[in-house]
Amino acid sequence: MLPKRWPELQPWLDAALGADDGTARDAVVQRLQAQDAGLAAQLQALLRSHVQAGRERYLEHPPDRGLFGSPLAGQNLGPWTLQTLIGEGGMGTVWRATRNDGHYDGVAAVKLLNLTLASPAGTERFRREGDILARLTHPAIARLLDAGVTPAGQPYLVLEHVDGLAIDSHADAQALDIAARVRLFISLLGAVSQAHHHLVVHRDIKPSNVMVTADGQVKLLDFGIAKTLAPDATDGARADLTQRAGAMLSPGYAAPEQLTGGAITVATDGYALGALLYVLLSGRHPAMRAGDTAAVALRNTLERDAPLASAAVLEGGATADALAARRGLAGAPQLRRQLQGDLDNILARALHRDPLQRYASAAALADDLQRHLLRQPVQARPTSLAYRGQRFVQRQRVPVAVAAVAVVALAVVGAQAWNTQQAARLSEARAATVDGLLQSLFSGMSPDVAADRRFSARELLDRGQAFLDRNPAIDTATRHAARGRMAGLYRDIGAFEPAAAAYTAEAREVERGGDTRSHALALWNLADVQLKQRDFKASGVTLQSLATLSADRLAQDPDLAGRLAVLQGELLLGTGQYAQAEARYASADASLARAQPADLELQARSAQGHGWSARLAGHIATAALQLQRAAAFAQQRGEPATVDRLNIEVQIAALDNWQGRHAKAARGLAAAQPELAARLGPQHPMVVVAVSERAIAELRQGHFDATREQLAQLRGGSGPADAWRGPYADVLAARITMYQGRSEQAEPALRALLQAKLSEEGRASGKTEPLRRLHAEALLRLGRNAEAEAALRVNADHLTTLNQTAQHNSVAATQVLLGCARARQGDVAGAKQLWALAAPLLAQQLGPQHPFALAAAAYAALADPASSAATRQALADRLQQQMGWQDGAPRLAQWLRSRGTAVDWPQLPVVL
Amino acid sequence: MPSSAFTPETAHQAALLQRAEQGDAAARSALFAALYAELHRIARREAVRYGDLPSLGATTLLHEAYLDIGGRVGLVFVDQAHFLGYAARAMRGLVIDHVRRRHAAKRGGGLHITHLDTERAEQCAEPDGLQHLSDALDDLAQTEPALAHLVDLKFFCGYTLLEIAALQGLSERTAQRQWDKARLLLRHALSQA
Repeated sequence: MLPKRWPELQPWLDAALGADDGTARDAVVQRLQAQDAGLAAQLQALLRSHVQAGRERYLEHPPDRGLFGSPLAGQNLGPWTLQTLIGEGGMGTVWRATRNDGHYDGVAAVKLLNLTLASPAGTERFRREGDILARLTHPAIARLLDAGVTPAGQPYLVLEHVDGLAIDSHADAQALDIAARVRLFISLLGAVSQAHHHLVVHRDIKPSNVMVTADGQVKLLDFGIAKTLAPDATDGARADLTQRAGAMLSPGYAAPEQLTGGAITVATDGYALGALLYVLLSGRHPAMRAGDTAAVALRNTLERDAPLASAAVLEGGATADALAARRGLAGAPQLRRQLQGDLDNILARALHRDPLQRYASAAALADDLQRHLLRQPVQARPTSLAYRGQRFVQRQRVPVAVAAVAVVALAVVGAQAWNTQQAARLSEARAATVDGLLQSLFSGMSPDVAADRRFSARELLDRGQAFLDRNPAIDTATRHAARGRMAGLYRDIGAFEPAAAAYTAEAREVERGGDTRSHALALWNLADVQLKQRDFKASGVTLQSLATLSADRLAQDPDLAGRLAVLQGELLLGTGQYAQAEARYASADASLARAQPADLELQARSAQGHGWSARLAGHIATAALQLQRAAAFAQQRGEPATVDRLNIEVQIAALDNWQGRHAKAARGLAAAQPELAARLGPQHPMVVVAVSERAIAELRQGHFDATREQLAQLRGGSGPADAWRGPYADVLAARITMYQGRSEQAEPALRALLQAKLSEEGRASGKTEPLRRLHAEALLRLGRNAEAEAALRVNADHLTTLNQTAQHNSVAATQVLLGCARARQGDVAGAKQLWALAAPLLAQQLGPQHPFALAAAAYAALADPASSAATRQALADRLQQQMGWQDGAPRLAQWLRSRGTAVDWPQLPVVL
Repeated sequence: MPSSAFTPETAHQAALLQRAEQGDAAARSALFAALYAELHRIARREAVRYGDLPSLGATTLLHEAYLDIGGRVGLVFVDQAHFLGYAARAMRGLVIDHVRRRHAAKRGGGLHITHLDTERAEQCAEPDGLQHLSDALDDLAQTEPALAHLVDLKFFCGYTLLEIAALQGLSERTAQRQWDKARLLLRHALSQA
């Protein structure tokens, strides 16, 4: 389907499509025409198709409107009917909506958010935040009327509809004088202050978010919505791409701490308010001048104090008089005089780069502005030169935190200088590189666009990468450091392709340098990324080169040896070679234990992989031990590893459940659950897994009320990931009724669940067969022995096929029940044989304390006339103690104690 | 590293995905079939739950499938971009089948309603036209898989270019360029046919 000579044609097509306008595009065609007329004709034909496709809006509309949603207009969201589209952007769409329940003639703005990429935890948090915001009421805050999720899973906000102008446009349109502007601004501060009292920070105050209605009422829009959508630190374990890429900011209004990843507090809003007031009063911007790019704005925000507003006014030449005129003043000098002194000082304090030096609250800023209006002395004082100088030195010594990518380059080079030169100052050349890098990050973004634009981490990294590629003059050490850091960041945001490319380039560069260890580390990082990409072939090759390269030094370098073995283990685990993976991890554990200094995170990673592979290889004791070790390492890492540690504890509890240690599992889960839920929210998959494991642990101890509590949580989920939760809860609920001796209720429920699962799966699978056994158990308990036997035979066959062996605990468990069916129908000898085979196998594979092993041993002893009275007594006691809550268990224990005299095989109780 | 506790059901699906990733053609078609069934199941479930609400989008459907499968398989095995690599193709099949059924239903009822204003938008909605497009996409995927995938995501799954750019780690500009290219190639090829 591709045109002929496509490989040759493609670069020309790219060039033509990339051309800025028609003329530039024609030039590309003409250049090709001069070289190869045939190819040029093809290119022209393709470009014609491009134009036609554009004109026809080819493939722009989804093929089926029924499936993809009819136009949204006219649709109802609760009591709101969407009317007309009033805005559209990357975040979503905004609709004018009217009330449809006749309560009152309300009009609202409905924001439909494009959050289909967010996690269930994100959706849950969105609801929680929405509830908080809905309680914010202030005449100057556009109210959040409702927040919800459409039946199709799309979150939306219903906001008070505001018809008005942005605050600066309003003030200009009304030609408000300085005092009127200050009063308008003070009315805004009251709203911000009230929200701050509720601990809600806006995070994105800028003129377009502060509207003034025709009757002069200020309305602050989108309060707290930035937080609703921002990544949650506790989502770290499962932060998906959207969230990671979600570090967004508005250049020019974002405070320095927002750029450097510092704490976001009410002072952050204080800075943005300062910038807004600066613009409102002076008509200039504190961090950029007309024609500056966003890059300049960001750099100025970080590096410079804002010029005095009174001075900035004059910098535009003729336009300064126009600014003054819009403020009801004769000329720029008057405007300048009005700003000089108090207002300059107030603005300088509000815009201080150190959050602690700003006004402590919006109310404090409002007080000072009031004092100014009343001609009382203000609190703000000019910053002394000595103080500024001192702050400058401090800043130079503090390495910049790397969270916002806007300053990554700065931090990269800063760290480089720190490490290699042990110097506090950057060399001139490096500073120039930083400057160039920063410029490149934001070049081509005009300030108009930039102020309303948000940048993703990925976008900025790509720009930085391009800069590095374009500038061969950057010295090797700087380039190397920058590339390494950027590769790590790419990996962290889940952009594995560029991360792999950067590590590949790094490996090639250090290889030339001859430093074997750096080369080895670059290869290690590359292999790590390739494993994360699930590219097992490539990572195998990389690990092979790494092993060859470092063969000589592994003996002396336990850290490297350990790192290598961890990734080899991951590769084996990923390709299903569990036993081999287990062995590799064991070797990694040993090497890492010798490494100095110890890397706890890596050790935890190794121990967890070790436990995981052991679990999959069927080595349960090793798995438990290694998971315990992993938990201990996570414990040592402290607070930052809390979610990791809790996750490991849930895994340990799951393993306990598997081994029949239900009491221990329940204790472990009871300890881990509350904190996990508090950190991740109740609907996070990890929390839901903990709930389901807890339900099993309680069920198998006969704690039916406690089980029902967990089942309510399982069913109560409204997150989108709930497909399995309801049916799973139904199965456990049916088991409760079965164990309580009400199998006539349990049987139809289990049959329906089995049938649903069978039609869903379309074949026998690891999901259908446990259900089939449970259903057969219910039949058996009802005395429908022949039916049960038939089902159990099918079950045993499937389980044997699925496990590729009959010597498997799941087959043995089915055989225990099959024995009951045979014995009840008179074939006690056949039953005895089945139980005698199943009992030791279950004890061996699941541990002798497992209830399946116990039940099998009890039946085997009952059927064996040679079993000793002491053995029977002991089994009876354990049966009573561990499984006495199961209907039938007390009777079975009694039969055991009676030395067989009470045995009435057709009435044999069923216990498993 | 595994990030959710182990459940015994995960191994099979994870193995299928891994084998598909390693180029096992049988595993790949099994995966397509599984994903198709999954999408279909969720669409039905949603329809039952919420009535015949027309706002169920393909992106939502895919997202639900991702969460369902992710919840079961353990998210370690599937990141979303990866998942979409497989699921978008399955979605295309689902959409075309859906259009075919609706088309058949319309025919069956003897109704031929054409709104002038929607005709243009639905120029592709004839099942045969979609089938040709799908065949051309499969062809394109042989040599330019990224372009074909982009069309699946945007046209058949309803993702916006912005979302696709974020998913695939492209700049918006690059995504737009890729889209232009894919579209003109398809337009060109199908007008030749």
